Amino acid sequence: MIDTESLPIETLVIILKQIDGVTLGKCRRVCKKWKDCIDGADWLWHELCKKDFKHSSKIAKEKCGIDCDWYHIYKNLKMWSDVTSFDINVEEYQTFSHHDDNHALDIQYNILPLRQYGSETNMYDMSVLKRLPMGIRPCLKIANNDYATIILHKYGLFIQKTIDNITNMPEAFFKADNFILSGDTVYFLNNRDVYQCDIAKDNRNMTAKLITRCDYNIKEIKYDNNVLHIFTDCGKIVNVFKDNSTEVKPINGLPEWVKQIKYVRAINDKNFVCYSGSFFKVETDDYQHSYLDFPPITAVFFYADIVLIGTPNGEILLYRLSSQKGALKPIFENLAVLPEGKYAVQLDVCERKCGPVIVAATFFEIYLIEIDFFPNDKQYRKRPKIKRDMYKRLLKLDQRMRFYVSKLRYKQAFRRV
Amino acid sequence: MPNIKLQSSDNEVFPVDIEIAKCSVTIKTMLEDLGVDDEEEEVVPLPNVNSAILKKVIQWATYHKDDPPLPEDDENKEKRTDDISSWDADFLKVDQGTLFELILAANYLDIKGLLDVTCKTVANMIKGKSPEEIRKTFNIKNDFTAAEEDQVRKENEWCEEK
Repeated sequence: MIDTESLPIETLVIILKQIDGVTLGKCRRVCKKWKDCIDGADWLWHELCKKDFKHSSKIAKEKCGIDCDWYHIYKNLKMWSDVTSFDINVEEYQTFSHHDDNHALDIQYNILPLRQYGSETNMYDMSVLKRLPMGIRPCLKIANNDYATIILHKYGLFIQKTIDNITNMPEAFFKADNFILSGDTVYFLNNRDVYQCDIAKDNRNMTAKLITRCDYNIKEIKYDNNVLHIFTDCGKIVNVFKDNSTEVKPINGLPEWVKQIKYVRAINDKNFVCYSGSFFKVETDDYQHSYLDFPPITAVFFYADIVLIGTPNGEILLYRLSSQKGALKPIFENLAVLPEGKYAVQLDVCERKCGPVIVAATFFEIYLIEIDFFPNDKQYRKRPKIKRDMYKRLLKLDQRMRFYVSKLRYKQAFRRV
Repeated sequence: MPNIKLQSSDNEVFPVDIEIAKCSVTIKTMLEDLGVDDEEEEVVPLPNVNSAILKKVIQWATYHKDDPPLPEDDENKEKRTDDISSWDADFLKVDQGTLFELILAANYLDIKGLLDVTCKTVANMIKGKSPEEIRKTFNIKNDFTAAEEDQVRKENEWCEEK
């Protein structure tokens, strides 16, 4: 007779695919075969992430890259519902000598880049919280995937790819003010022009093509589900579709407030948070809140179902979208407080196997807020090979940037004469 | 309607309407690859399915012959396991051995609808149960050593009842 023991792994997986996350976790304890089957099929957890944490799991994955499996992302996002019951530890990590509201660049692919005026940008590995052995020229944004590294410098965009060995590394340079990396494609802005560049692994000739000219100043760009979403400073969302056709829609709200958007963080045109003055608006698939007299905000991190908010008193507050139902005033949970007199001007979150790290940047310091959901998972030493390729790309990029920047400076000086 | 003949592992032959047999992607591609003429009465051997199970599969396929094709896995569609029709639920009131054999047959014959509903039925037997209850339900032996079990239990604190 056939029983679960003789059921082939591929059919066991189809059964387990029908199960919720908590039960799937429990199934790991049934027997070795089941445990190996579940641990060997991380896509089961990816499916569950897509179902239970559609947007936040995507954000988390972009931040932590290959350092966390979907299994860890699922567990961590599940624990966020209980986050305030854990020990929350605020620690000073770095200090700077210059005042800046943009010391911490976006965490991506498990790398936190920290910049300081006049000196190089250092990079920190979020899973071990250690500095990487190289720094690069001062820059504005860094993004990685498994085989390409992209750096935004005030002169433009540098792209470096790893093909198979160090001597064969295609590169490209474009004039740009901002960019996003989505899968194999880079979208970048040069003033109000939006370009697209295919950086697929086997594409050696990286050329950019203009896809649209925006009529307004651009605050934020996002690519989701085959649509490019452009948020403008006058409260409009421009959607650019695959065939390059466009659609413009306004952000709903009082026109006088949404006309001067100060800050936007978005996932797509239906999931975003924005504010201007004391007007605060958040919109997701499930919730829509806007407040006219929102308490003063100094920093925001949009995590889809929750928003982390920094206040002038140095508090880091948790604004849970699901808790606001029917409330006239926003409801917050207290997550942490920075030392006396300090407040966050930037907030970012990176999941690790043992739990999330919140990065709070002030004008002069970086504070780390570590929450250990799973203290047993804290050990981590090895750096995977794929990361060594990234180190090589970073070193090469730094050389190339030196070269390009001196050339560009020379050209500019020449033009002035 | 033209028939084809399906032969089970124990050599029993079942005449089946060709359109019903084609709900199995395996049989459908087999017929297309062989370029079998609708006129001929072909015997298709199915060495992985015994007569008792094949009979059930044909019964299921005959009842569902007019179903619209299943949609491809949709990202936005929520997966549910409580949408088993009452006919299917009755049809699957069988012992566990038969249920697992039906899963294997549905997998081998590539009948998505049957695979879905049988796997959902098993999934429903797992849901909400503790590891010990799951072992009991399916008669699974706990083959972890004490140390291993301790380790998994530690890793699993997040999903166990406190």
